[in-house]
Formats: sequence, C-alpha cells, structure tokens
Amino acid sequence: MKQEYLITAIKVNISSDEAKMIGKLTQPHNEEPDMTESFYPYLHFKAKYETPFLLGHKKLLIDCLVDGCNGNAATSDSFESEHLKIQSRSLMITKTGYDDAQYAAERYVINHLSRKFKAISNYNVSMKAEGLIYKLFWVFKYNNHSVLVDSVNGSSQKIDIKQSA
Amino acid sequence: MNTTVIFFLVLYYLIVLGIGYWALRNGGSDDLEGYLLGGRKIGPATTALTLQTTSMSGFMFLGAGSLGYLQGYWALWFAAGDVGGGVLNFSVIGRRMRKLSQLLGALTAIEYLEKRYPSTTLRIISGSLTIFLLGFYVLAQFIAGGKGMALVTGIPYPVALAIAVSIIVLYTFMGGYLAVAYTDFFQSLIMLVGVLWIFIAILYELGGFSSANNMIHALDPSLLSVWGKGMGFEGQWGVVAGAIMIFSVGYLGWPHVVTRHMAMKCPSTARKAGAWATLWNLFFVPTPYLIGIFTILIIPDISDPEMAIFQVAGKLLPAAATGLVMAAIMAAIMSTADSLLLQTGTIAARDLYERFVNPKASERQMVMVSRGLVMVIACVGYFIALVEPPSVFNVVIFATSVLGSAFLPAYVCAVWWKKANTPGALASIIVGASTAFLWEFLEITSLTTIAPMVAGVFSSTLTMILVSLLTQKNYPVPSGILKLMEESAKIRPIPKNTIPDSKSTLSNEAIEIENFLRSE
Repeated sequence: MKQEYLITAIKVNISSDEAKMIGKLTQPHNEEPDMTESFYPYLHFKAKYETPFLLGHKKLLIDCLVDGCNGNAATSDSFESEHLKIQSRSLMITKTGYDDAQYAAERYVINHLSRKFKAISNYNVSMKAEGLIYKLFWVFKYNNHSVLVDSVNGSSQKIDIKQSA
Repeated sequence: MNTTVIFFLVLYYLIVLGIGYWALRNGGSDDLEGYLLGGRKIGPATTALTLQTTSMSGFMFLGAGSLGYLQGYWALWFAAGDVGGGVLNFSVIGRRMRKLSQLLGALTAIEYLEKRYPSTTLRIISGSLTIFLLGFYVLAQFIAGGKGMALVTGIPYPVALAIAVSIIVLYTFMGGYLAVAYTDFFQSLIMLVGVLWIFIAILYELGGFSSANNMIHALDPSLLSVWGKGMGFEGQWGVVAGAIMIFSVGYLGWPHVVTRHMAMKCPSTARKAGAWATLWNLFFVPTPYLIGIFTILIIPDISDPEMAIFQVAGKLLPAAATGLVMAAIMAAIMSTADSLLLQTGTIAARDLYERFVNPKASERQMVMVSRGLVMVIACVGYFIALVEPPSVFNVVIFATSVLGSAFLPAYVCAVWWKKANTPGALASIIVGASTAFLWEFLEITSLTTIAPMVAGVFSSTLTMILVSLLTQKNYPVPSGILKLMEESAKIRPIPKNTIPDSKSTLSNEAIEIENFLRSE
C-alpha cells in the first residue's frame, strides 16, 4: 500500500490541462504524453524590514524560498498555500538543513536589499521560518523528450527524461 | 553665484524627495518589489529609460563633451561602441550568465568567478583588482561632481569637491530614502530632456545642423573627419578599435555591470528592455559628444574642456532650466558613484573579509568593513582630486581598459567555452590587467598606435586559450560545472501561452527533478 503524506503546498495557479497545453507547445506532433507529478521542497522564510524615510518608515515583507534540494535562496512573490494529501512517490526529499537554509535566506535577502536600495546600511532584517513548503511540478513525458511545467506561473523547461518503453 | 539656478536646483531635489514620500504613502504594497517598482506597473520602456540614464555617469557629461570639444567628430567612435554595447553585452553573456549564476548560487560577480573557476587565489586577485579599479572609477565621479558643483554654485573647487564627496558618501549610506523607480524615472526624464534641450538650443543658435557643420569646416576641416583634430589619428586603426571596444566589449568585463545579469528578473522583459535601450542609446549617446563638438563654435576659449556641456548650458538655457539640468546631471553622477561604491564595498566585505578573514562575520561587521573601505576611497579620492586631478575622460578610459582586459575572457568563456579552466582564467586575468596597465603607464600607444584595450583584450584572450588547452589534462573543468554549463546553454523561445511575468528559468528544479525521476 502506498503511503500518503499531509503537506503544505503553494496553491496552484494553473490546471493540469493548461499545463498539458503548455507542454504540447514544445513538440510538433499531436502526441499524448504521460503525466507525472513532483512536489518540490522549499524552506519558506518571511523577512521583515522597515525601510527608512525622512518623515517615517515603511514596513516591508519579503518572502524568501530556499531550495530544499541544493540550498540556493531566492526571493519570491507572495503566495497562498494549501494542505494536500499526496503519495510518497511524488514527494521529493529535502536535503537542506534549517540552519543552513536560514543563513542562506538572510544572506540573500540582505544582498537583495542592498542592491535594490543601492546603499551600504545595517539592514535590520528579522527572519521568521514559516516551515517546509512544496511546489507542484508536472512532468510530461513524450517519446523523444520530457517537459517540466511549473504549477504556479506556467513556465516550462525541457528535461532529459524519455518515455519508458 | 546665480540664485535662480540654485533655486531650481533646490526645487528639483524637493520634487525628488516629494516623489519618494508619495511612493512611501501611496505605494500600497507591503512587499519590496511593490514598493520599489510601484506595484510592478512599470513596463520595459520605462525600465530601459531608467536603467540607461542611471548608468550614465559623469563621463557622459564631462568626458564625452570634452572629447568632442577637443577632437571633433573622431569622438563619435566612442559613441558608436556605446550604442551597441548594451545589446552585445546582453546577447553574449546576459541570459546564460543569469542562469549559470543561479545554478551556482553565486550572489556577487567575484563569487560567480570563483565558483565557475574553483580557486581561492582567483577570488583574492579578482576582488583586489576590482576594488582598485572601481576606486579609480569612483574618483572620476568625485571630480565630475566637484567640478560641476563649483561651476553651478560658484564656490571654490576644494569646497565644492568636499561637498560633492560628502553628498556621494552620505547618499551611499542612505540610498534607501530615494530608492523608488518613480524617482529614477523622473531623474531620467529630466536628464534626457535636459541634454536634448541643450543640443536643440545649440542647433538653434548655430542655424541648424548643416550650418553648424559648415562653420566647423570653416574653422578646422579636420574636426569633421574621423581621424581627429589635425588628422592626429589618421590610419591608426588600433586606436580606433580601442575607442569602439571601450564601451562595447569593455562592458563585458565590468563586474559592476555583469552583476546586473545575475539580478535579471525575467529574461523576456529584459529582451524587450534591451530593444528599448538600444533605441534610446541611438538618440542619447551621441548627443553629449555632438554638444561638445558644437560648443567649439559658441565658447571657443574654454580653459577646462571638461566643463564644455556645463558652460554651454549656462550660456544658452534659461537659468531655471540650467538649474534643473545641472541637478539631473549631479543626480546621474551620484547614482553611478553610489552603485560603484556599493559594488566595491560588497566585494570587500563578502568576497574578501567574510570569505578569508572572518567567515563568521555578522552583517553589522560586514557593513562596517564596507563603510570603512568607502571612507578610505573617499579620503584618497578627495586628496587625488584636489592635489592633481586627472581628467574624467582619462580616469574612465584607464579603469575601463584594465577592467575589460582583465575580465572579458573570463566572463565570456565562463558560459561559452567548456575548456576554460582555472589556470586559464587566472593567467588571463593577470596578463590582461598587466598588459593594459603597462600599455597605459608606459604610453606604448604612441609607439604602436594600438590602444591599451585592444592589446589587453588580445593578450588576455590568447592567454585564456593557450593556458586552458595546455593545462587541460591536469586541471580539467569539474564535471558538475560542465553539467551546469550545458543547462545554462538551454535557451529556447518562451511558449506563447505562458502566464505573463512568469519566471522562465527552472534550471535548478529541472536538474533536481530530472535526477529524482531517473532514480525512481
């Protein structure tokens, strides 16, 4: 019996049918692909920063996701999440520890702020760990190639997984 | 001191502050991008305008004008390279570097080099060299700011220089106050309008473009030639090649410029912005050179040709317009200077101090290191600019030549040549920088008629190829890096029905999911 897990995932913005349409754009023949789901892990942090101004401050929130597989950090748009029950075979395992992730997130956010504000300043950023969050990716396998489609923004990329015989 | 000019200069800064305050109150958004970019409503055209004008440094207003004033149409060789430089930069390394730096998890341009060519020596040399050369570049901005302020306000140069340096340093420490795109956009617009206004006023004064050229011909026909005043550069293709290369391929080796590729958000927006930027360059870039050329006819006896644009603006424009244009020029100088200082400080703190001196450094300590270095640069810069100020043109050309010669092959080969290895990159950086430096220092150009940039880029490229091939057996490029290079080379059209604003780079996820599915 396949084991099921309850996970927190970023809410999808596109349906699997729309994703399939995006995948089809990459191949000329009207070929029906095999569809696989993969839930990709990220460690989610929320950074709070108060930007100064001559007549006051503005509080800013910055979402930061640390890639659970390779530890690279990136800021992200704000997103909604949902709880899902999924099968273990589509769940990817996290290889990044929380401490490393927090360090990477803080370093990235401060670097991002200094670049955006173009200033050498003490950015008193407070980081809050929001937990592990997954993002759904669809993989469409065709005879000669496979396509990865992001369930949040619809971006896609060819990958090197061929249809099994 | 012209009080009307001062009044409008102050008014300009009040407007800029007002825009910042309005954005603070009405930005509506609590997320960083929303605040800085006005809720992401800014399109590629505005992005391009903002980027291009903020990247225009004091060189465009002092160096370019001076070159036009001294050498006539020969100066346009520099403009020719600059017009295409942005697009060349974007198409040769832009998108690939964006992907590769993301895959390598590199935050700074120097960290990127170290991860692509694994070597701590390379990081130390690249970091130190960049700090030294960007310091020179900042010096040019200090001089430009000091000279501009002295002319506009009428206060003595040493005091004006001190004020300009203080403002630039303070601005670098407090940049967040004005960091909204609307402010940049307003400054860009004023700058663009101002430069075009000066140019149109000159043409009006001289009776049109053809009439102005006829007058130049009557004065000295060689000023209309492509070989410079008195045909001084006749047949010197090595010098011409250097003039074209400085701002075209030279850009490819600037760490503070290539960092922009790493920060690029969406390649499709960047592509459109690139097209707009080229269009804008076509109109804007040659204008300061042409203003310099025609100023010969209006003010023939300028003691410091670097002040040509400032002086002709003061003579032809109404005082109010002069104030606004001067303020925008000062804003451009400050904007470039703070980018350079930020980059220099970041390299000192992240690439050298955190990496080699104190790996557990807190953010506060790193800010102290960055600010300390900025203060040192400010003091040394002030001293040099006061005692024996070099021309803005010479400083910018020197820094650009050495930076470009040192880093161009390393950045380009990092994404295009799989055999480019660590010894090759290291040797190329050292040979390129040394060649360009010695070429400039020993004035070899006058003997060979070959510009330092040409000699430097040629020698660094040759060194990269030869050393990489000769050491390939003992120092092959690690297989992990080769795989990432292959991934970064996968550039394809974005599907039409992809959701707008989507991030089309899934490189990290693609690699991991590929491995995950294969292991199943």
